[in-house]
Amino acid sequence: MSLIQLKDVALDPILRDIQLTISEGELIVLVGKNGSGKTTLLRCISGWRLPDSGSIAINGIPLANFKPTERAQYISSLPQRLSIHEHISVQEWIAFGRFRFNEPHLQSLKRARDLLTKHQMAGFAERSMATLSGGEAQRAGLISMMSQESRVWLLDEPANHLDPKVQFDVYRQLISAWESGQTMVLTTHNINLVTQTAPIDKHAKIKVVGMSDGTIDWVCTLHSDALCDHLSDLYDCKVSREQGHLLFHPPSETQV
Amino acid sequence: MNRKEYLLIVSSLIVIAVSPVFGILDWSQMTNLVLWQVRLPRILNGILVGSTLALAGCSFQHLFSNSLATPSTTGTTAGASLGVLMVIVLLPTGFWQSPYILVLFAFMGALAISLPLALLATRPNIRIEDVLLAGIACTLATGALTTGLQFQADMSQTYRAVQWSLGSLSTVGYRNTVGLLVPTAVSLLGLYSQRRSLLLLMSGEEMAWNQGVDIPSVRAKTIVFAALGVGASVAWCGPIAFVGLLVPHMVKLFLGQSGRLTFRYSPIVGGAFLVCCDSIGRVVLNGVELPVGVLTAGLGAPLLIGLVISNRRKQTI
Repeated sequence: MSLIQLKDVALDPILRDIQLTISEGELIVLVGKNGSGKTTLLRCISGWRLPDSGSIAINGIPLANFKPTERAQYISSLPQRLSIHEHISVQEWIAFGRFRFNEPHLQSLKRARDLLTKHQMAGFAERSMATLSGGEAQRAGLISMMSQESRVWLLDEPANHLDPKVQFDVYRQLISAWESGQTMVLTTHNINLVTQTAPIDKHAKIKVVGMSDGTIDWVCTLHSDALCDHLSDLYDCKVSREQGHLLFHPPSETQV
Repeated sequence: MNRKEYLLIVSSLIVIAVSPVFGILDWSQMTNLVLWQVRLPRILNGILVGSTLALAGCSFQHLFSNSLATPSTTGTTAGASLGVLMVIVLLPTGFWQSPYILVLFAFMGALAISLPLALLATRPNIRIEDVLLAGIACTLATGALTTGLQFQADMSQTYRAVQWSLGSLSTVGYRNTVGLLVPTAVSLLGLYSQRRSLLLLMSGEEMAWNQGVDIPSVRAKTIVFAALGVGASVAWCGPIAFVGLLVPHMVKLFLGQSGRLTFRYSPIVGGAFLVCCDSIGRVVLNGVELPVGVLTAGLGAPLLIGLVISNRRKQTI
């Protein structure tokens, strides 16, 4: 069932003519060069940026008609980088994700603690957010999204700046959430993190959306044979598939 | 509640309770009249003004994500000063002898600067940094006008303006207290109602928006409620510096982390801190009252620096 619909969305000069439908239970991977408009598109869906024209609707109702707390029930979004300089404990910060529920603080805290325990981060509950490493902060960010319990997650480069092991940890967590029914849209430059963490039989269900110059160029599944050609065009470099993973070949000397 | 929170509440209450009789050497001077018509209204003023300034400071520090933000960041004090100077310089002498006219113009001046800023803050695509810059620009521009007016003033007018600008809680009877009560109460309740949204702003406005905070609304409400309370405080008691800047930091540093508790305890500590400074200012020089602003800065600054140093030490160990 379609949950979020974007029609003719344009935001001068970054986005133009965007058509996109996000359906319940979908995993959409947005790819594109730097500056192709991925982040701005996510910001339009989260309502943080207002498009100049076109419409964005949740279940047919325009996004702008939603009160912020109602919108937060459908959409949560994790920016590329969290920067928290205040000394606040991890569990209190995660409890912020419960804002939309308007529940007693102690209840929010309990939810936060339960989620931390469930994801093997109980030891971090009392740590200060300001002292977390990049990977720890990103995992806390994911748990804060979970605490918001919204229908769609938007993630902008969720594994950016993280070491390889933590990159896999983050993607495993995301894929397992998707497998249990979470709808999500994420942007990445490293599509192999998805191919390597998602079970191969599910690749046909993962939608890859290619963006260039502020518009959507193509849409195919992760499994699709056309993906290599699409990616080659998108990044101007040869792409081949080896044992399910995508190999990006450096451009030849003459091209440089 | 932990031990430190109890300590904070109990010591605040003790400070307030002791202040009416602080520094009394000759008990025969402490008549009923002095207690009920001079000391008590003065303490009530201190509590109202101190708590409002502290909570407004705390709210602005979160709103602007800037630990240097003060209740005057949106030009409230500058506007009030201009209002007062306009009465003193431009209107005939008779007018500024009436305190009500002075209060009215100070209050209107404060709102005249703050409310347009609140309106600006609700417009789409305005970053909070822009609002902060606009606030500073308005403060400077208003200050320039004030200086221009001061240049026109004669000796007695200048004296009156300087006297006002020093700030004072002293009063006879409950006129000020009654005048302060409604705007400060509305301001305190209004700001306190925004505390959850303001707290979420520490992860940045975009993240708070994603979590369901109504950014335009929290910006506008915070600026308007703060302007109301701070405007009234400045109008009745003159500008009182540093309370709004220092008290939230002192509370935060004393309790350690959690902005949530800063919102809860800033008003209580702000009230007690201002009453305490005022009492000391009343007795420290024999027979002459030291302006309360001198004490708030003179006591507050070293206290804050001490807390910062002791906290850094704790963190590095």
